[in-house]
Amino acid sequence: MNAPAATAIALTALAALMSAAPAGAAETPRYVAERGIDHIYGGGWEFFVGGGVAAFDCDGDGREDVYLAGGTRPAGLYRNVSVTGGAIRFVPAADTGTALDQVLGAYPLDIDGDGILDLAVLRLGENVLLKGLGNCRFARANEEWGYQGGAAWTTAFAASWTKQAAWPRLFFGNYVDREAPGAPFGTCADNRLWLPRAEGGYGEARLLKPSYCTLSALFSDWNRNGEPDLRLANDRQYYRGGQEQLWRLAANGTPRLYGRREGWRKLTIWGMGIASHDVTGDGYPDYFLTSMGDNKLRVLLKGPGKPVFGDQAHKRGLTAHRPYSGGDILPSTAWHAEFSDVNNDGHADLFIAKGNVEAMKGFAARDPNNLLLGREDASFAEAGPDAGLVTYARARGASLTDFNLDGLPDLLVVNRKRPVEVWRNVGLGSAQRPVPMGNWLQLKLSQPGGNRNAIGAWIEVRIGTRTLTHEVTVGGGHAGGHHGWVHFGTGTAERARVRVRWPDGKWGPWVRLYTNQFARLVRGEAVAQPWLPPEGREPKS
Amino acid sequence: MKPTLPPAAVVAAALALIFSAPQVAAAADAGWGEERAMPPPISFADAARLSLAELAARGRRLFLAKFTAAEGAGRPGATGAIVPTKAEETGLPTFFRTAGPDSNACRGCHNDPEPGGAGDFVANAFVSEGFSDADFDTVDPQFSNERGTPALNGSGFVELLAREITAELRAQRRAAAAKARTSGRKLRIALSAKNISFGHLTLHPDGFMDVSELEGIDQDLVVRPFSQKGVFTSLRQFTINALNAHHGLQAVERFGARHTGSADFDKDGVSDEIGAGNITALVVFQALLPPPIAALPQDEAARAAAARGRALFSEIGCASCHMPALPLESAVFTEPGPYNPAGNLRRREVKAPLAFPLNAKGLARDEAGRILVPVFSDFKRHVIADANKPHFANELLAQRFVNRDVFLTARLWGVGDTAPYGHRGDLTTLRGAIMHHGGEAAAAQKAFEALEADDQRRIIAFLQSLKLAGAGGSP
Amino acid sequence: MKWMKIMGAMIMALAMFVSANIAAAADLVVGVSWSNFQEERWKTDEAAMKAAIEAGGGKYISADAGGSAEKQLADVESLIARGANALIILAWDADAVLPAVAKAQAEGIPVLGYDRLIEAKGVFYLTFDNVEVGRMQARAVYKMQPKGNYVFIKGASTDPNADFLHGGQLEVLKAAIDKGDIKVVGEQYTDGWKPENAQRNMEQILTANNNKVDAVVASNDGTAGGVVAALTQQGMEGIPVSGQDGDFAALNRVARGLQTVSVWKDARALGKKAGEVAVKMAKGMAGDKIEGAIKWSGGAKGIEMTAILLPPMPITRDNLDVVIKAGWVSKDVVCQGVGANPPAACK
Repeated sequence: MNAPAATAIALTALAALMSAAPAGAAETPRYVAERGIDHIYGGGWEFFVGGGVAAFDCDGDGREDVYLAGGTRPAGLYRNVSVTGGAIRFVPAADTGTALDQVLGAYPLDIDGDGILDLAVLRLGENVLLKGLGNCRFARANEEWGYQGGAAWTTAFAASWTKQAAWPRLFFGNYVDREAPGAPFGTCADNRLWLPRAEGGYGEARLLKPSYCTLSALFSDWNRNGEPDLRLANDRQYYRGGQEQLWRLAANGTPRLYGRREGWRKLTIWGMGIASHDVTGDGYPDYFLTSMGDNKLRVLLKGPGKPVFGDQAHKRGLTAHRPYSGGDILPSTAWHAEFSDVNNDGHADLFIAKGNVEAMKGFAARDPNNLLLGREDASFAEAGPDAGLVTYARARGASLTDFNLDGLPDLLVVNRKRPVEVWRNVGLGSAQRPVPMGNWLQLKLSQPGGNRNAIGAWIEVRIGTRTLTHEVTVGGGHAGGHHGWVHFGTGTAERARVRVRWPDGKWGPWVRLYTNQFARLVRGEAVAQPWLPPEGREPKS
Repeated sequence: MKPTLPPAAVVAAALALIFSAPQVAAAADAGWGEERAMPPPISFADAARLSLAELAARGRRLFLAKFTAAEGAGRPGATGAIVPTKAEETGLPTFFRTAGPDSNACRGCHNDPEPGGAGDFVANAFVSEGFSDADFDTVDPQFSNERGTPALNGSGFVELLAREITAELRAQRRAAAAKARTSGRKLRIALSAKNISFGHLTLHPDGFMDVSELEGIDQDLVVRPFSQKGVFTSLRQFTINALNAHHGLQAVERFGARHTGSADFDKDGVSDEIGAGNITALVVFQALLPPPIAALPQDEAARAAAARGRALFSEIGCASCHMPALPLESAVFTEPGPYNPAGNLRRREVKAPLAFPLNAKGLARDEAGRILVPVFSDFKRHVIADANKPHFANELLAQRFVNRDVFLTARLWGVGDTAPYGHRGDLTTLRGAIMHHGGEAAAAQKAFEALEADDQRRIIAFLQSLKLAGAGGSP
Repeated sequence: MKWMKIMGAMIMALAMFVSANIAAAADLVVGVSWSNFQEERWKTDEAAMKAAIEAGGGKYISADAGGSAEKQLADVESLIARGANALIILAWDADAVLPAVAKAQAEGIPVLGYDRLIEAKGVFYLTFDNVEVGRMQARAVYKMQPKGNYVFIKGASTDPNADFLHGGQLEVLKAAIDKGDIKVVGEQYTDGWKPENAQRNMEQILTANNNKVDAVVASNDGTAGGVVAALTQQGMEGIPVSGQDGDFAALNRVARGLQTVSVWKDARALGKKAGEVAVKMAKGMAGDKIEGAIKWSGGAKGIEMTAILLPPMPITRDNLDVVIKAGWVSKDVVCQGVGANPPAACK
């Protein structure tokens, strides 16, 4: 072989190496650990599950505050006093009426339609509906609203308004009945659905049998026919003869389970959380279910006519079935899951909270949370380490919310027996100097009537040739939810056209919006109302 | 025979060549027999370290360059849209007048009287969303609007004025919002900057705003001074748009792997076609194009006519929109600018922005020392056509949220040298352009019509004195 | 010349035989789908499996599902695509893997369920005989203590194996119980098989019986450890206690006289047998024709399956050298803290 030939070969080989650019890699946002909140979710066996966070604005300043479950310790309400675009800080709110104990989780929503958000608090024992009084104060409203909290171990919640009603129907998912003979195996307590009375308030609950130890519930319009159905994630550890369930809820009729004849496929998992988003781009929401070992992405296979769901988690890199760092080779245990576009590139990303049940053998002890970034081809790649998010606490509930109103979704994680973690998304920069990523838009909806925040509405954001969609829901996740600004990442698109399909099925007009701002869409108005965040006050201490 | 190893030196040299060269472009300018027109890529940081003269020269070279396919001109796989959008495989020819790419070099259209200037009607461009198939981009006005080529002289001053107005309006908004929050009552303020009124804004104590009374500006209060309808924020954004639309040259900061997942989004076999350093050079070149300065004619009678015409121009109301001068606090141009959205290099993405002074030679100053920039525009959008005077709305598509009959007040500086007139360049006389004014300008147009013939000619004489070539000369 | 023709024919026949075998060897691919290969134990199984497969003239290919049921489905498909004539599947999730099993069977590829039951018609099940484990535990304890008060510390009530074991134990002891020689004074499941639960349960039984307990049939070494801890607190250590798994701590207890037996399952034996059976099935032999195969329907669905249940080995004081020689555990670990009267293996 002569010199020039060898050189030529060397050159070609090197060139080949260098031209192999990674295709489709998504940019990773960096998260810095903020001081966190000195609040711990703890307790015995009954509080191995739960540990939820309700994120919502209770003091009207537009920043999402948080209500944290405490287990055997009191639950706590914390006000968000972050500097806009700066450090995220929470301070305990005083005299709120929310310091209940035995709390597993909570969800924010406006039950009585008075424009102030209320809280549905899930407890070991009597559940409590807390009516919002404004300025982060609440009062027990069970009696006033005719709701009986019961005595069950409640672990799941979802709510939705039917087209005519001013009050929502409330679903409470219950776990094991500890008193039943043979407990805990095969002794799941009955789930309850509370339908509102015509004059407001509630009468009697409907039992949804059979119940299979439900840990997450979501009202969602899986086939876009205008009627949400109720999807339940059930825990196979304790049910016998059970499976995942989808309840068909006709407006006036009896709830009925979808069965094998309609195409519903039996799925038995340790169902802990539900997150929904149209990942495949087929126009119908897909459902991410957390479990032990493999997590699932349920995708509609045969169109909207039949509830035939198959799994695409493995295909899209979403199984997240064991730790990606920390050296543990045993399978993971996953709890809360949530879709959000954390790098504002127009493709949804997925956060999964992970942690061992307690000291369960056969499952990973060191189990870090996942941040899976969505790519253009709707596959996902792990970015936890690059994002700086790796910790080994036993995470349970979480919330991906823009706490400091800079357009980049931040993260709050509730841990079992460890303090709550707060993470600030600083984009491509650092805590001292955050650098924004793609463009973004954050929206709120408003309509007259009881369902003021338009739960059940679909928001469409058109950027270029793509349309981003979002279904507004109350429920899902693990033991907690977010009610506030709906965040969209728009990538390089500077403008968007937005329209809403309101819960009664009517479409609003296309509304023009520039990105990188907050805005409210009011039903009947063709122009959105932009919103300016407060400049931010320096937190005390 | 035993094979011999290549001399170490040869291998080392080869490796050095490979590792020192950027991935696609060669390490040096095009050698003989090579067909590349652009200077090699440099980083933003390196560009900022060049002397201003060098950077401007590089920008000029890029402006004149006849881009070739070897360096990425052409975009078979992407449309001309402002957001990276894949094109269907249609097999259109490399150049296509309506869908683009439609020109070989920037100066192909911007050349009258010299590079950076305006263009004849023959050099018109077509603008469309670029969101549908290239098939749809035909001459049929249903799918695209036609635009004359404006002169770029004075662009640096234009962008600085826009930034100052935006900053001022946003400061007013912020102060009012804080006041509304603390007082607990809604507050309605008049938005005004540099003596231009932009309507009213109502701030509610909960932070929401009523933007329905804004005039001539977008709801985010950003003044977008570039393009006929006033929809582009900065020279940088516009340059990146234009390079893609007209030449198929895709800037890395918008079309690169960061945002599209691919280094060759337009699938023409060339990756990373133009980087941040060269884009910055182009911006610098355009920013430094001297502002047009009026040059009164030598002839006594003509001079007197023009002077009187100027007075009439104000008297009959033209100047209420075509404001003769706007005061500029600072002529230091910083790049990247503060209002770029993602898809363009942004201020926080660089360690230190580039900063350089624009040449204000020949421009007057006011008592406060501010530079009086003779733009003859109020940087607002207005309804300019109506049922009586439909000519200026002679297209079917709204563009980027702006209706067909709404345009940014044309900057009249240089109008004496940049016939033909109008956004479509389809008017050969200034008189014609004036007569077609309708909508919000109806009163001024009628006033012009009511003048006696000599007075009308005096106004036209004045407009003819608004020459392009400035005292500073080209960079 | 005739002998040359005969020679020639013989050579030809030999050549054809050899080439046929080579062809057969090239066709004989056994695919192994591991559930989570990084777990410590499986390397031992793999080594034995591979050796047996290659000895049978086959080729070993494998895939690791890494703890994902979904990946295991994809793995089985890829093993089939890579030419597997027979599959050995260590199921991660026995229900979730059924579609892959069905696919293999549809293509005529025999499937062997390894160690974990895949309950489906036509799957060959290979595992250790768990009932025999129970019998061995009971036999060893009974030998030391034919009469007296017995306690059963069982496994987790959720685990079907716990009942298999207990069934085996009762088989051996039933006669003595019926006769009255053995009185059962305590019987408890152990939640999650956890030693601390076993200890707590044992303590409660001791209290309830005023320490009048003579022998404990514990179902595995973990629970045996909890039992021994409870006994030691009462100064009762040394009474017969059984276990299984060959845990190092248990083997040490056996050496020190604190535990009577640990029933050991030699993973090498299981791997070797799996390799042998797979090769036979790949060559076309029907499962029920394989030597030692029986009909078995002990699964939850009651499906009748062809199975080989390998006999485990009881390890007592007398044969501790077996596990040491097998390389399962070192002599130092087994013999640590052995006082006067050491067992043979520790001398």
